[in-house]
Amino acid sequence: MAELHIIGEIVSGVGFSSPNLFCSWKLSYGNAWKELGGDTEGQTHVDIPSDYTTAIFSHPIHVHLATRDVQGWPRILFRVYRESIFGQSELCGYGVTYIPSTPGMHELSCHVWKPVGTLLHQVLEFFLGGSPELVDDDVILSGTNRQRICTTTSGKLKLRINVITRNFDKFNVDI
Amino acid sequence: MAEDSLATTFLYTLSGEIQSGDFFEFDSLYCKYSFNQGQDWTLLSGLSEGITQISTKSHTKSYLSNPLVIWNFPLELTYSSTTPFGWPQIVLSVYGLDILGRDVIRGYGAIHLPCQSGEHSFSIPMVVPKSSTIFQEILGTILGRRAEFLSPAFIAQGAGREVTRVRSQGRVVVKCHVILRGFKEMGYSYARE
Repeated sequence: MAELHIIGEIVSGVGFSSPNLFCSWKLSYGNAWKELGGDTEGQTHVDIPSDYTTAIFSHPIHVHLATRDVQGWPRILFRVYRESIFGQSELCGYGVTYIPSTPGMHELSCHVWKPVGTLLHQVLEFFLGGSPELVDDDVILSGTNRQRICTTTSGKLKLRINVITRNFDKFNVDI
Repeated sequence: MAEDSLATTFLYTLSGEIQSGDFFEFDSLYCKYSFNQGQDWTLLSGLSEGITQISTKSHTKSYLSNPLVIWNFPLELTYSSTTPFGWPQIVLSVYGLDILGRDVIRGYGAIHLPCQSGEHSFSIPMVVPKSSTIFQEILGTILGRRAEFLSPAFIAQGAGREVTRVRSQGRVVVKCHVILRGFKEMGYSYARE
């Protein structure tokens, strides 16, 4: 089996309306992939930055995967939340990014978006907090069922990912 | 026999420096470093932890625009390993002296060491944990006992992070050269050919 090592960090979140952010992440991959070591999901700390702009996560990602097939290449699903002054967690958005398929070091940025509700929801959100969330991860991960959702841009996550591959060339896979 | 052993381990040599710290609010800082790695990694040579001198910013005119704390502290180590899993991380914790000369934590930071051979420079963002209540924070400031992590290695791990609140402040710049030996022979590729 060919092996893939994903070594890196979720570095920071920029461009969000509120800087007090945290983020949960989950690696998803196809059926042919198997996890050999490391965590495939996690949640970062809450950062309250001193410069009020960039939330620093420096959260390690370290996964060892083995695969029989290149289909279902791994990707990471992010959910970014902000912490309000009352200590509530509110959704800031979703983002999904593929792990680069070329070995080497990659600086990735993952844009984050969130669903918007009706005008009434937006008024309620402004005064009371809370924002509409998606019930099903499939809407984020697959391209189906997205056509009726209204979304808005919320910010950007920065990642630093090292990819190390092993034995892909033995199976005539050109990456 | 010798060829067999070459094919199952690789060597990772890093030489570089903890160059500088960029902390806007703080001065008189020193930096502790250690490494956090998996079980398959063994340190063949070099110091696994160390502590720099206490450095202050320069107040001459040419440095005033962006005063840095310079450490220029050498790092030199060689690891041998059988797998990239558990790739070593450098764990930094920066301490400073407050007005009464007490050691106060100014930042924790960690980063995976570069996986590619060649020259690398990275700036590591630093964070400090926040006290859970305002009362503790005020008391800690007066008594000089701020909230700290039990072990600096906490910042290098993903577990238990969701219950911590931190404040990010400052950066530390590390420069290094990396040499890998026997990595390709084991079937790994770490850069596009």
